[in-house]
Amino acid sequence: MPSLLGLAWAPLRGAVLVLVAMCAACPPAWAHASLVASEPADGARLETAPEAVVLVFNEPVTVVGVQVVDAAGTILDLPAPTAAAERVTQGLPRALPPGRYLVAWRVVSADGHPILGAIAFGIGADVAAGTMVEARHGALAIVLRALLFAAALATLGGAWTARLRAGGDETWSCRLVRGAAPLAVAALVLLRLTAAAELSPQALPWPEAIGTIDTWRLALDLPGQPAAIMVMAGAALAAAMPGGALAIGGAALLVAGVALTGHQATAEPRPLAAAAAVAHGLAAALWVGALPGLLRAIAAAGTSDAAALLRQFSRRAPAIVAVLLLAGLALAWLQLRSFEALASTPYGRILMAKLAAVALMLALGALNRWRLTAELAAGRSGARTRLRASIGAELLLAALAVAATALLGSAVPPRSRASLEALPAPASAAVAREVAADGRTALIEVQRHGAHGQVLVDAIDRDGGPLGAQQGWLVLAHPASGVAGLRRPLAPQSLGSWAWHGPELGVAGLWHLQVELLVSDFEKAVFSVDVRLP
Amino acid sequence: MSVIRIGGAPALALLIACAPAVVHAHVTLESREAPAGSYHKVVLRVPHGCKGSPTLKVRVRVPDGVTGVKAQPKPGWELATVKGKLAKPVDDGHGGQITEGVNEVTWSGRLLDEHYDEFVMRVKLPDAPDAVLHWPVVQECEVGVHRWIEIPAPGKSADDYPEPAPALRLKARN
Repeated sequence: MPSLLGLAWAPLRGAVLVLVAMCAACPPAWAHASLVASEPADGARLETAPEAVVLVFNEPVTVVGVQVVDAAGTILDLPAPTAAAERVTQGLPRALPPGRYLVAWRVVSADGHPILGAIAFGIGADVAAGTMVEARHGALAIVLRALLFAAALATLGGAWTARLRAGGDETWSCRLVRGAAPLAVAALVLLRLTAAAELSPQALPWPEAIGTIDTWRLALDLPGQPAAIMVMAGAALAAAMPGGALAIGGAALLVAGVALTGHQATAEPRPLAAAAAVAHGLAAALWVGALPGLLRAIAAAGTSDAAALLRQFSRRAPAIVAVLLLAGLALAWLQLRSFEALASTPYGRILMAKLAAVALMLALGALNRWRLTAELAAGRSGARTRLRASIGAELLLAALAVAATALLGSAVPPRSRASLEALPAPASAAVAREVAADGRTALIEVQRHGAHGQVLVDAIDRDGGPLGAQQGWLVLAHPASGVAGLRRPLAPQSLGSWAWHGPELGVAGLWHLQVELLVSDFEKAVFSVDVRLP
Repeated sequence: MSVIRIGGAPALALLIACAPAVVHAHVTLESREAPAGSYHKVVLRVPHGCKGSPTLKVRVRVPDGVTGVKAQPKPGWELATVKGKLAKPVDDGHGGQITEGVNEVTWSGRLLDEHYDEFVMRVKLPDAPDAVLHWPVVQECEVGVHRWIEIPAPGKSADDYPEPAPALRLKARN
């Protein structure tokens, strides 16, 4: 369909370029909650053993785990930590011996984002300070969130077009609902599992983490259970009777649940934020979610039927758009708090990209309503093709807007940025090349973003090709703070490539890294490098 | 029941005295040195399983240059060898060359964590005085695995590693 693509491409190209540019400019994702203080303070030298470690965050958190590691790398046996709103307290054994300690913590913010970090303190010993907050938000989480949004919109839109009987292809809309509702549930479950996998103390690679019962237990315990239950109940209701009136209620419940899981709903004042998020989600679903049904009707139904359906949709469209924009405006204001933030923060820039896509959608919508629908009703030749191209373009722009919304979920809203500004500057990197005695080579790259460290390993065999291995480990030592023997599994990336990320490398100074690759059952290739992190 | 009874206090003292040794026990060779070029009985000592789990398999990789490998069968254990081309051909001492031999020996059976056992093979050592031969061992258990395969880097000793490969130093022949 060259005409459809051609028509759709012109406005799309600009939006795609803007979105790509936004993504390239994104810094590593920050969390929505951050550690603001601790007792003992990070880097503190104490003369007597503390009875507990208290971590204070800028918003209420759910604690997943706190580990205290001594200088030998031994993880202390500790009671479970307790959390009261934004304070997490970890009891310590009586009379902790003098030495250096690293406290690694894992929490979940109110909007379900996993956050990890570490602080260091010494008893009768000096330690290097400098670890703070870390949020891991992989591309997988963004893709899953986009899928969740799209499926939720399609469920409500499908349920609605199935009820707009005149001319609509009801069975097709019903099929859409039956497909999209379970997809939304699957995306939500996977999203919670990825968050739980990130928080797993074993630091397992992704597919393996999903296979462990602990990850599922943790996913169940993450905050946001009421919203998750809303999504599941709504999906069940909508999929059970997709053509019925109850299906719209179920689909609306689903959309509301999805809207409440995100960061938009946790801004202060909470009731206003939650109401705006739900209204925004519902309106978006009625507009965007109805587009596939309309497209289908124009393609498959008779001219008069299609025109009747379009008229029904167009009659309601202004109210829907008004609610969408008003709620969106309220949400944006709650998150941004200033016009300046729109241009000066990554969050603001992604939001602008989304607004650009929505503006183009509105223009197309207006064109459809006032020109193309009338042409179709009048039986003008070529009206059907033009309308299809226009709605197709609108749908593609909607996909971009959904993707931008999913990206927003991983960027830090300016509202919670203030406390993060005080953090050490991010991004430092060091690359080391190590040729082992056996003639094998490894390129080891260490990156640090604030408190988040990442190690990338490329192993090269004697013949210059990638060095295959069954398993890989990273052994970390930080002599200045006395930390040694922190052994972490490396995650395979591709043949010869390995990666690890975690909060431990948040401490500045000289690190000793040892990469161990199990080349065969009986042979381990070992590479050791010293890296100084600024 | 072959339980040795010792009085409470001495038993506790013994337990405390032995505890660190038990925790750090490695798979080792009975004799750490042997004359170069000699026929030698390699005795592998397995002191424990994997964190309490019983040992099901002991696999040994024969070092390069070692020939004439004859593993000793054990009652209750299935013995298997992997034969292949040697990494480097070895002089057979009669004007010819040995190009094939045993690369790997595997005993499969069951050894409880609280028990001790030895695994034996007779080999011909290479005539290379002062060389150190490493015998990487994979100890497979019901749950978990120990890989005694770490070979010390120059300037380090086996004590610097959590799972060092058993080593045999070749002495000059008298």
